[in-house]
Amino acid sequence: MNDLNDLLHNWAPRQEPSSVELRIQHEQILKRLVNVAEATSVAPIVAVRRETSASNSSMLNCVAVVAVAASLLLATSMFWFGHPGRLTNSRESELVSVPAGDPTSGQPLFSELNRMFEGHWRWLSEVNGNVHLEVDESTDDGAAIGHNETNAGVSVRLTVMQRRTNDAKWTVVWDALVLTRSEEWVRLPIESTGDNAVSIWAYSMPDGSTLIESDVVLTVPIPVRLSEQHVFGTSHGPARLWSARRSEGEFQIIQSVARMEAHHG
Amino acid sequence: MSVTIETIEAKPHKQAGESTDEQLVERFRATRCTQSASELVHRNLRRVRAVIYPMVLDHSLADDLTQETFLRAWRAFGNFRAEAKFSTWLTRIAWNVVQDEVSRRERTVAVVTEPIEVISASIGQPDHSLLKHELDEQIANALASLSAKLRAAIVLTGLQQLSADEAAELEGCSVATMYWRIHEARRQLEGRLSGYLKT
Repeated sequence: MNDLNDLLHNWAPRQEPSSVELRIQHEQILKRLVNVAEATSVAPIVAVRRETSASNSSMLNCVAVVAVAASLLLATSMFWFGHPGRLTNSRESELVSVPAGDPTSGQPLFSELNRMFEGHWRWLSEVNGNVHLEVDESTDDGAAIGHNETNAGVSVRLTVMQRRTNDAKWTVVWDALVLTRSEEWVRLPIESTGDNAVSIWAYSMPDGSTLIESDVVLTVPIPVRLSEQHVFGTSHGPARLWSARRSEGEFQIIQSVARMEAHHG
Repeated sequence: MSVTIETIEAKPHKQAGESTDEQLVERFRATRCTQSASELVHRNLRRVRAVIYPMVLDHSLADDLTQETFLRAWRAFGNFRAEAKFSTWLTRIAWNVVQDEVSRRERTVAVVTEPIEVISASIGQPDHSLLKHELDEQIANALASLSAKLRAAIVLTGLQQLSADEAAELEGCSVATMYWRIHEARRQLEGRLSGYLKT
């Protein structure tokens, strides 16, 4: 038995949406905010966009650097994704081998971003060829990665693989690559992901392992919702987050992680 | 390639020294960066929805009104004064949004006034989750049976922990009126939920 205050205070939290539902709503709100901004011709709200014609010098500088970063990313992507013949056939219970290349190949780009931004960047993403750089606009130099010997970063790749019915080979049908500083909450921009919502939070642990928290809500190529926390050991490597068999074939979502050092070479 | 996977219970704390809501608003005004807007939404989403849901008692509608609140706030950023507290300002917008909706619904929706049958009050027994679900429904029904003004009084003071003065200002009534509404709302709720309450 309770008093009225207890009843109400215990009832209210039970009416709250789950964290995944909140994330979805968060993305929906941002999408509507973007639409409102564009419909009312408000200045672009994306932190850095390649087509931005900002008038202030810092924005122009950012855009210029993004172009360099995009070039670097493309070069890196060629290395990550450009090795044909790495896909292997797999029985259902096996982890599909993705064309991962060298998991540390994002390190040169990570180091270059640190150098160009003097640590004032947050994360870089590439989703199906669409590049987005999130910069750190704070003026606190001490918070920047380039000024913190211990602040490493992480490269995370999320891949949706499909094997069609009666087909022997797995193919990549959706792919997202993220380079991020440790302890950044990465929310892939809706301009890149369309109706998909992907959030990643990465933390490089002192023992060399890496915690990755992923919230994934996909509508294409297959509807799926995931909220996962994994710790990748020092050896890193791909992990299967999810698998399913549908009428159009089998699907797997694979996550690959590599630790990036703040100061390299 | 070998894989090492463990599931962990909690994540480490994020770095201290984050910007305040008010600083994020200023940054957004200056740069229009999505990161600031996104962070403001992230920090305030749960709280805004907690203001709205008890008034409408419909999850889908609460989601829509929560989105509407942020859109209105977005459009009104020019009116936000740096000396104000962003969370208070946003709560006021949420409250205006919900009042518009409640006024509209009150003109079209009949209030359910049937007495509530208490199925069981033995919370904490083996069928705990089922009983909790029933209790949640009964509380929602009891809140729905209140008039909008009485429900607002109990939501603002009982759930949002506002003082009677603050609630009166938000509702545009005198403090004495607000005290009466709180008293009446509690009396009606206690009557409808008596089977679950201490005697």
